[in-house]
Amino acid sequence: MREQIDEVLSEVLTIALGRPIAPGEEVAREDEPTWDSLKHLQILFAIEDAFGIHFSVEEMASAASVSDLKAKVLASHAA
Amino acid sequence: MRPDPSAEAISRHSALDRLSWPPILFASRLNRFALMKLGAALPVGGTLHVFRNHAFEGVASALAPFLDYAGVPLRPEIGAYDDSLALPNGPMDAAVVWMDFSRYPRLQDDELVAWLIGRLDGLRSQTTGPIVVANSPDSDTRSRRVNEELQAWCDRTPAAAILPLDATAERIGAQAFDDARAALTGTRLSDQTCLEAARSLVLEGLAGRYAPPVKAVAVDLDHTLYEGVLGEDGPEGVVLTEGHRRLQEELAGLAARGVLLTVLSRNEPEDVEKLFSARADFPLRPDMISDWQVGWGRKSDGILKSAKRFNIGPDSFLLLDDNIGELVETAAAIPGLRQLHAGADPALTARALARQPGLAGAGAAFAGRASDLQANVQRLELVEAFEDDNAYLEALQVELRFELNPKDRLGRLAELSRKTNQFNLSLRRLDEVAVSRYLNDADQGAVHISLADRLADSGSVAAVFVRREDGRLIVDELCVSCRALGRRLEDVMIASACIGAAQLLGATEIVFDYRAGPRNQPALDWLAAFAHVSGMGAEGRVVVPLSVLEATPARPVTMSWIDA
Repeated sequence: MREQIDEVLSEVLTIALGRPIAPGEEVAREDEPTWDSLKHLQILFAIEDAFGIHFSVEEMASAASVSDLKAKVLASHAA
Repeated sequence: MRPDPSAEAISRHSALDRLSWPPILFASRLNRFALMKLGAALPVGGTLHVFRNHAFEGVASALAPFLDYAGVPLRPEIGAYDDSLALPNGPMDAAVVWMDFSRYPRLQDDELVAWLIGRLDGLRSQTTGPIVVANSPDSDTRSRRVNEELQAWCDRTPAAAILPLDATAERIGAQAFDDARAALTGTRLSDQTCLEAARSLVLEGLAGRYAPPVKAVAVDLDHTLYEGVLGEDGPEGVVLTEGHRRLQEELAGLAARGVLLTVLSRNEPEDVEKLFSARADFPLRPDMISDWQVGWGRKSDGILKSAKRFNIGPDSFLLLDDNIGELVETAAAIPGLRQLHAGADPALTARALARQPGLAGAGAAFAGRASDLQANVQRLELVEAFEDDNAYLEALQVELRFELNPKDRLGRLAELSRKTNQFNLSLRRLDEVAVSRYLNDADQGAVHISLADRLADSGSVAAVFVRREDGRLIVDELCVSCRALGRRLEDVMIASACIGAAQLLGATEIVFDYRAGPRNQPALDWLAAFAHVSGMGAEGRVVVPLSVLEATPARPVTMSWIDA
């Protein structure tokens, strides 16, 4: 499951941020100039559709890195 | 900047790449991750100006694959949040109005409607490009009133279309809205609604304007129209699943709208005949099929033969086939051929066919085409029977009806200009707004021509757009549908139209503007022969005195004029 999440996050972020992101690579929003609020929503909605999950507003606002996103996907699947 | 309508100009994907897109683009529930993975880039071309008072970004970020697939060369340019719907001074190729009407609580319903329609009229006067207006997704009394007024405005306004958020919201249900996230997203609409809006905006709102028309569909049989292989399972053994039923119903609907259907199959002709005789449960009936290309030759040859029979270009075909190998072969042989892969889910194929760019709006242009085609066979027999043109026309009992400035034909006139390829003299591609000016301006005019003979009613077949300039009649655009070609009527039809327009506008000389394109040689050849000129360049003007037109030999045809 973790590998699959890494793969999907890598795909989503690579497309959204326009640069290659390797599976498992840690990327923080504050370090990525192209990860603006619009891209942030695009990334979150794509992840929701990829895994069939739904983020809360709080989760959407607090997600600030790949590891945050991965944790939230895992938590959604565990719930 | 004028958009380049060629799909090649905007696409970074090959036609074969796009064969795998329909399951994602036409899914009953769109998936943003799947759309992103298609890797489509926004086209280089004109601008789609977005007027909005709530976030459009969720729509804009999903537009690229739909724009690419439909060959719509527009790139969204999102304006600032603006409740006042202020109009810019700069040019725009197309516009979408994306307003949240719940943001006007201080306005009475009448005030809101009057203000909105006034702004839309102002927008219409600023651009000749298409305008798509998103209606209200809400179902309260005010929203219903707004939506009615918007629809009425759209009905009376050229090149205007509604983006029906009300229908989208009804289909999606409660999940159409996401109020909890509105502070983050900038809109009350859910992401699913935004994705649906992106799809509707392109496929229903814009594709009809830019995508080349599909005039005929060539359809495979085995594993496309039904499950199974006719040669192995026999007529009774192949299975009509519910999905295949829907697909056949969709094809039958297209035939009813005048789209020509060709059965293109590697089977024995007698087996195919038995199939359609035996299977009364097939919604697609033999009399809906205009041509049968059944045999073991290459499918591209079958399409070419069918195109010749229909008197249309082979790139006006859409091929529907389950076999990727056949799709590859035909794509290589026929540049511009549209293709739809009949995949494992026939219901999805039916949905994709229903919304196929270039096909979705088929209607007025094609009405009567199939019966006219059948009549063509008899016309060819008559040509052979009569050596003399006049005897041939007399036998056909041709009737030509000319209408000067018929405002109720605005849509069809624009369609003739936009879609006629072979007999189009200047390739100006007039849109509805431009045509509207020809119909309404005192110094301009448009002549619409209908054609019928004793074999069939060909309906609307030609248009001439003219204007007066220094006492001369300038023919800005002249187009004759391929349905009317080959009946030796071009001279009398065009001369009569120009004489009528010249008399109305007081001109004594006719000037034909022309421009050579990839496919309009028949029109140029006609002009050269008619005006006795040689050495015509890539573009230019040919001047013909009115007296020369008036000396055009009379033909035994019945002509009538209707002055609107």
